[in-house]
Amino acid sequence: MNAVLWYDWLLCRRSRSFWASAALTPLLFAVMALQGAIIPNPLGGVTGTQLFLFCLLIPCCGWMSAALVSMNAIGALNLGSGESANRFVEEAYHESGRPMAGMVLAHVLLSCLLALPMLAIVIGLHCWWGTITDPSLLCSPLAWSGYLCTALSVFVTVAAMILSSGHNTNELVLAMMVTLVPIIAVMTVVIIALTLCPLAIPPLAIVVIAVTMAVAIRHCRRRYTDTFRSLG
Amino acid sequence: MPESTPIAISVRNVTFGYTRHDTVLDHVGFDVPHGQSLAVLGYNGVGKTTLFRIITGLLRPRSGEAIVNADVIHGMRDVFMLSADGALAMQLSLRENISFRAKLFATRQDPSPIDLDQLDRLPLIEAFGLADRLDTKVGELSSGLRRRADIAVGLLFHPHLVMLDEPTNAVDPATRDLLIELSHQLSDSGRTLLTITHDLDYCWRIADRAILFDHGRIAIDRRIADFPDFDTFKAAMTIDEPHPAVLFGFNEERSHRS
Repeated sequence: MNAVLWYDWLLCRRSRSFWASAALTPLLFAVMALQGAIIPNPLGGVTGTQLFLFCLLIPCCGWMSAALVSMNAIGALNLGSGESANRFVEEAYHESGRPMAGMVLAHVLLSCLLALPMLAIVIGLHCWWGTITDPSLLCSPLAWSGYLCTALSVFVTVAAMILSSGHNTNELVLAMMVTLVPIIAVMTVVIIALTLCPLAIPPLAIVVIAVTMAVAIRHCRRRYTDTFRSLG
Repeated sequence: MPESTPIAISVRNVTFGYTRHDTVLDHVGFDVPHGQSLAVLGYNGVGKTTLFRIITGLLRPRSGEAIVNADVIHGMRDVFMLSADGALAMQLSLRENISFRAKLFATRQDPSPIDLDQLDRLPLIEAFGLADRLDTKVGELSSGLRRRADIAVGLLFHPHLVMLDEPTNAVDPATRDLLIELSHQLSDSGRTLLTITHDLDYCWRIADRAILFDHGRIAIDRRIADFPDFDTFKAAMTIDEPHPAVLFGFNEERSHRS
């Protein structure tokens, strides 16, 4: 896992496009959240901007960081359209004899570490702009749903990009689009829950994350076969 | 090869397709004795690379199984597969690529499987002429040098099962000769070698046995020593596809002009 973390970070920190995307993303997402102001009536005491921020744009920070890390890891940021991605990390990791889940977790860990400052910038900007005035909002069920959905989004995106059989940029773009589905699903559930039972949001998010992780681990085990065994 | 030689790889009745409707490999089965140098031949798209990926566990067959014998090969760390796409990150230098692999292959018992400070003195690095290129980004190397680097980096960790997918692609005649010598030394040291190649002369010079694939099945599986000479081998290992007169349209263009 350390080797993959070292490798991912080395690639990311040397990529200009990575730094440009990482810097611009929180700024743009923070501005986009302001669009929530067009929703006239607050939902369960939550304004439209706060709803956009925690349900959509904070999880999108996770989605973006995971996409950046994954695409760097498979060399996809340097590819032309339709060109094949380099899967040698996968091959080398498999040859090292370690469980393949470790490789996925390393990508997830770096993506989470990258998502954290992005998330802090977005929230910081909104505190500065005055759209978040009550600090207790940052620990509310709505906020927790946003944080957990960020983790979920990182996990789903990394798993889809790394474990999908997508070997070229076209398929990877498709995988990236599909990974937006959990964010949309969570946003819908949160909006419904806000009106019915806000306290149910965090446990619900934990259940969703646990189920997603179980599915991904099962997929990971199924994707790679263990051919190393005694002939008997 | 003596009859009692243990099996290193067993491919048993493997069928594989990338989609539900196509079949790339169709009930393929063979054993590779430990220490044998096996060449895998066949036209493009016949499933040679797919077979390698099934053996290493990167692809799951629809039916059947591939086994790397744990009684002979001591772990997946003992397996090196050079894929056709290469085995190195383009954005990193050769030294960083080696460092990544060293970190990946490190264990508690052996935390430094390779001396990273003495890389330029390692025989493989010297033999492939890479000592002066250690700090060059792999993407900046010529395709021939990149191929040499791919092979050298994988072999630095002394694998016992070496699987090379078209190693002579994009290499100059001198490197090709180097690869032939390398294959001989790998075989002499008792390693099992599997090579995918279209280069029949290379195959003739490095392999103990050749398997020819056709339409997803093994068409020919024979020991090289069974062929009296290279011409007979070449004739046997070349699939005679009927070639009707092929027109590329250039003659038509000339007649229009005149």
